[in-house]
Amino acid sequence: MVLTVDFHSAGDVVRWSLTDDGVTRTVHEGYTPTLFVGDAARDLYGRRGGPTPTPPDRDGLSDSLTELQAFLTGQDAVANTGCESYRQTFRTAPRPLLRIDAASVDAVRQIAQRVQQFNRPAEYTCYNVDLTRQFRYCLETGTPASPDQSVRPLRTLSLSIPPHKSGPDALTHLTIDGDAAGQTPEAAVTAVDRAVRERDPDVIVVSTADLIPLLFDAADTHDVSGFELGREPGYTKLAGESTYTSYGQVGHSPARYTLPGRVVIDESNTFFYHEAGLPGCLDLVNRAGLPLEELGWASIGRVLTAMQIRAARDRDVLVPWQAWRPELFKPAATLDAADRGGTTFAPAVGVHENVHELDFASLYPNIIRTRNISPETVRCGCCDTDDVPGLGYSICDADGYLPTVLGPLIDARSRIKDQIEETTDDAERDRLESASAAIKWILVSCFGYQGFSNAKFGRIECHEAINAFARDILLDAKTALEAVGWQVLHGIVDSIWVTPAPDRDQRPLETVAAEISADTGIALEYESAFDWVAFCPMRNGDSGALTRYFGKRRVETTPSTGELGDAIKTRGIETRQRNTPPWVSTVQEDALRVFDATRSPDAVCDVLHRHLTALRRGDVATDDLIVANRVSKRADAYTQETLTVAALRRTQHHGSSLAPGQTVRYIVVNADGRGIDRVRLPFEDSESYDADWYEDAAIRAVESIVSCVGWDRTDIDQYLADTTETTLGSYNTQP
Amino acid sequence: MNTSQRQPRVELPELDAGLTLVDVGSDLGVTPVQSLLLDSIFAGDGDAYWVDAAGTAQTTRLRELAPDRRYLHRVHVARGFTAYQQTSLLDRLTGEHVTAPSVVVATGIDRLYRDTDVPATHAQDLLVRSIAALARVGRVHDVPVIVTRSRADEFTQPLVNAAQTHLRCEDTQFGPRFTDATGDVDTLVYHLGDGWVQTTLAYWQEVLTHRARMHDAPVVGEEATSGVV
Repeated sequence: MVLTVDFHSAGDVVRWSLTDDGVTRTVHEGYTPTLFVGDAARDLYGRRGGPTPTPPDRDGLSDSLTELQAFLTGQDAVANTGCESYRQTFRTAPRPLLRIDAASVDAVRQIAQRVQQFNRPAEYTCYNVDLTRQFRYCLETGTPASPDQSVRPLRTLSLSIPPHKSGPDALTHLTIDGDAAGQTPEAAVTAVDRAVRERDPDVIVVSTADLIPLLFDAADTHDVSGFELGREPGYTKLAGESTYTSYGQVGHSPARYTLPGRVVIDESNTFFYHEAGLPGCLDLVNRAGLPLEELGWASIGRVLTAMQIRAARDRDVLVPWQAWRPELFKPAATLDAADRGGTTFAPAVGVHENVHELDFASLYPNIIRTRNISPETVRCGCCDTDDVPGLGYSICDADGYLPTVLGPLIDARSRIKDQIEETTDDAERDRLESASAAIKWILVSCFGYQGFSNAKFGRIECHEAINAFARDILLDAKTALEAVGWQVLHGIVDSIWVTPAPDRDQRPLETVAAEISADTGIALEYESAFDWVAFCPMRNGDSGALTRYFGKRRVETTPSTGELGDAIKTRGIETRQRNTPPWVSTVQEDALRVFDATRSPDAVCDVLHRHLTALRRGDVATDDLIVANRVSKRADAYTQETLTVAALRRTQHHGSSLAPGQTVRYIVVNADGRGIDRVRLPFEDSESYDADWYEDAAIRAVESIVSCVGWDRTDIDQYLADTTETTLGSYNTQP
Repeated sequence: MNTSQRQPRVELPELDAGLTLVDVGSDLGVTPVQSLLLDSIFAGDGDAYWVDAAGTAQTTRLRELAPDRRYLHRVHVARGFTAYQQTSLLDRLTGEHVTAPSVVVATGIDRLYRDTDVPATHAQDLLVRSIAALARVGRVHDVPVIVTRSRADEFTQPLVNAAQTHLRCEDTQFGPRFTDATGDVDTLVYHLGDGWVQTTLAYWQEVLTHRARMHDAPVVGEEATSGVV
């Protein structure tokens, strides 16, 4: 079991494992990572392609592969070549392929690129090329990817600088586990050096990976002798910074660094550490077999892929490098039915009393599991059955591999949820909640990932089949509920809101939910009872917005101040959006509280009036007015002069820059002004703000609330104009 | 059949077997190509095969255009989402699963090869390979192969060289017009005579209804169409 694995350029690998008082270091000499090359993609997916590929039979390597083998033999990047049989897809038998052992991890991609350029285009298919190095090592050597925490818990050290600081001077703001490190860069470096020696951490959490070269450079400049962050000298840059596009969203990945013998987690480049903390990450390392440092910066898709790769390997299936496998031809009529997405019943706009929400538990993962949906089972070609509702796709009788990946996660999560209910130990509960959060993200993403074009084992037909089942299940549930006296107010994907149908007797919800669960094989859970739920209209329209609503849970009491807690559930409105300034959220939450108590748009507008008066008086702290927006492109790539652009330019003006994917924060001081003077950055300690701009934002947030009783912007403006003093109602926040 | 109705002259270009490159004015979208596709199945017995790499294979418009919903069962669609998937699909067009088509359509043939994950030299090689695969489709099945590209530039010049026919479809004040660089083809689709021209959905629907009647292919009456969900 390893903590981390280091790769030396000479090809040696160093494994680090935990011991009672530190770590042991084991050298693995001459590790040669392996990739495979098969014949042309057309043999699998082209002319011979169909549900079950039928590549021509052969015993040893083909002529073309033999030619390639001769070309590669003797090259520096290549340690060895041979012929070995593996399966290239889930639907083909093992075939003799060219096995190439690379001289080092860095040589793998180099070899693959040479293969791609050799011979005619599309002549070869490559496998096991783009695996991350630590994951590859664990996979190929059968090394368990997680540290053995039964030996001792991991030791961590946290190094942090404020986000807007960069360069050597930033080190004067450095903190070690939250405590200031030193007044000068030299003092800071010395303090870090001491802390690392004393603590000998296994994991170093940095606020930005740039700290690593920064600290080494400063140690050089100030002659701090023997300065080290790792358990051996130096550090390694694994990847430069880059910008990418995924699902139409621009992301930014910062440079990645690693230290010998320790795990680096970069807080500016981690999803799972933020969502699930170290315990959740470690739990997932265990399940995914992706070592901690790589899991630290991995996306959800990468973790899911790691699990899929392990499951594929169990079945002797290799990991394709490029996504050659296309969808099968289908009639436009089928595509028309498949392309409809999830089912929704348009919500009835307005306020509804006595509402109950029911949710299907992990609907998509459970559909995959119970309906045996997997890239190799949907439209399998060997079964002539009509299994997918509305699409007529067959699903193979043989067990799919995807259910075997997701099944254990679904079970683990429900087991963890039970443990959370039972435990009385707070620390244990935290650990369990972390683990549950990490698994949840994998489960919620597995459906979307099936439709992602570059997913290693994704397949659009799986995506379509899952959607088709989901539609069918939701419609059946609606029919079943309506048959026993319930009126369905709204339904979306996996949730249904019902209220007793007038003049009818109702079968208890627990009973009908149990019946639906038994029929569908997926648990329909009773989520919550609401005293009332309001479904908002779409902006600029009267019909219901599918994902904008709020409601008061029965029993829970609304806190009289501060955040709403669990008392009022909100979706899609401003207080849920992360770019909403805190003050605007506060106005909306106060408005919700008063709406709950009074149901009166007048009283809600009185709350608004009170907040606007304070805003006009200059009584709102600028910290509460910070707008946080995700940067989608570089400042000079924007064609419109939005406030976000002004903030980006202002950030550049202050000597630092933000890359796409990062978040820019600013206060609006003069929206109608010009250039960078329209905004201030939080660290500029601005006292002033643009009251008109924030007033508009607050009014819009309140409009979201009162729109469900038919009020719009004009009504609010009119009411505010007429208001000279607030009514008593706005102070009476408790019913 | 309603014979009392005046039958205006409605033309679409006659397509020969082999590659026809169609450059469509950006304001017309994929509709003219979908119309050519449907027109080919009115005339022929075989089905249409459509490989899309441009994200244009959404069926809403096709459903609206088709004079009868049953035509949607005769159009077989597969979408390439990566350059590699598209390459596989174009090969598949000459495989055992594609039998006796009446027309083959490949939209946005160059688009995925422009993606950043494909190295530039490799991209050019793959594009040329794809053009060759499509030319082969035309020969093997002896049918028209309609190709569109996302951009007319140096990268797609090999396509211009390989195409037997290069049509442009532009919107004119008299309606959409197909022209050919050689001057052999100049088809004004449908001139209403009174100067009133529209290139909306309703226009193309009418064009295709007329074309279907010309070929005695089924057309659903107005009432039935509106009843289809």
